[in-house]
Amino acid sequence: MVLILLVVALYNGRKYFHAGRSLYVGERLVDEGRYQQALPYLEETVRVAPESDKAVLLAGRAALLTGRVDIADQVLHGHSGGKFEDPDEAFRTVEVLWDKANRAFAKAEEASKLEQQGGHDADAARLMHEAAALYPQATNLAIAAEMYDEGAAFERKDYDTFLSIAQRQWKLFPGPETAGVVASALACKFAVTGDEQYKKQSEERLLEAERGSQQPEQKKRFEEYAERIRYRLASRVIIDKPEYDKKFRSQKTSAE
Amino acid sequence: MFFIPGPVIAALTFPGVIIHEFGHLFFCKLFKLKVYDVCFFRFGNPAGYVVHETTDNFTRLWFVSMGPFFANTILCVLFCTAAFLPVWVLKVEDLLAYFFYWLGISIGMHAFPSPGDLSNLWAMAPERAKHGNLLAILSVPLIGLLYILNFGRIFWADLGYGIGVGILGPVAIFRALARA
Repeated sequence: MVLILLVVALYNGRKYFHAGRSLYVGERLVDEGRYQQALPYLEETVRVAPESDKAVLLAGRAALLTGRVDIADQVLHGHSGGKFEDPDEAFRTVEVLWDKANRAFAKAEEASKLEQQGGHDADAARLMHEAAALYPQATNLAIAAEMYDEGAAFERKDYDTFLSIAQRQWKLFPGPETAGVVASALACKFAVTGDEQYKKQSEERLLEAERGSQQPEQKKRFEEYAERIRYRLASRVIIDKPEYDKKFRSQKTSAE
Repeated sequence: MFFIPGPVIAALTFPGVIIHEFGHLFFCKLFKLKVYDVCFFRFGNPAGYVVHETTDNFTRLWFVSMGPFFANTILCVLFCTAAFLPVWVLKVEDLLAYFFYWLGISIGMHAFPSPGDLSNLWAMAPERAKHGNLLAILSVPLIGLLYILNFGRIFWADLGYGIGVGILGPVAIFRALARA
């Protein structure tokens, strides 16, 4: 009888053993500062036990310290709507990280709005750098800050910096978007120097961006910026998008 | 400190009494000692008993008297380990797990040998220890400790032991597994 009960107890507990072991492994990895490795273990535990304070706070901490705000948000709000019975030290640690991440993303959003307005690229880059410094674990903020630096460099007509950042981004993240930015920077260099090498390289990158733009959205974006780059290469006149739109596209619209 | 009559405690944790008495019976049968009467559980004091033939063999007596202590402790650790994670760590609402945790604590709570078991052993242990019986030598401090713990029953030492084993045992097991 006792043996049967023991078998039933162990059978019932088997689904928790794996989750429990993952929790202890994850906890050890968090203690060792290996947050990236800890996260999958802790996520596994949270899937079985979304109401466990310990598992959720450890997973939230590991996620926030690896820049995965999306996972942190999912696990923390999956736990009684983000409420914790006993706000202990583990809770306060996560709260501080969560607050920092939120402030960083609020700044990033502000930067994004400024960048979209046009003509405020330097301010947008400054704000994005502040966001990246506030939450250094979010590598996407640092990447965005560098991309905004491209815009700021273009705005102050520092085309060498614009080209150097664009090439670095293209090497790090090869794709139609980054190739298009390199084409734009090379077109700027051609416009100010008249060096045919820049024009040739710009056209090559533009062709690469066209080939890579397979999705309808990518194609649409490519058509928009390719037209401006071709104009820059043909005229050696550098104007930004709002000015280009005002000069050419508004006429097109009114002609239609 | 609040007082709850012994039979009530025994009734609330009856599986531990049954396992304890079964442990005595098992070792009596193993060492072929005659068993005159067995009561696995009753509403009275003692809540259970096994009346068996006496023996001069210290090893046999040791197993018959101390066997339930180790059996109850091991079973407490096993049942509580099976239920520890959902109850304490993962906070999962699993009624079966809570049932097994109660079972584990109940078994652990009745691990202590009774004063009768201890006095039988104490009657033999010091003399056997003088003659170099290793089991008797090791038993002397253990019997002393168990006497103290038995006295501590009025301060819930038996419940404390059950809860302690039922928590520390699984924690030790899972910590060891995490390191493996």
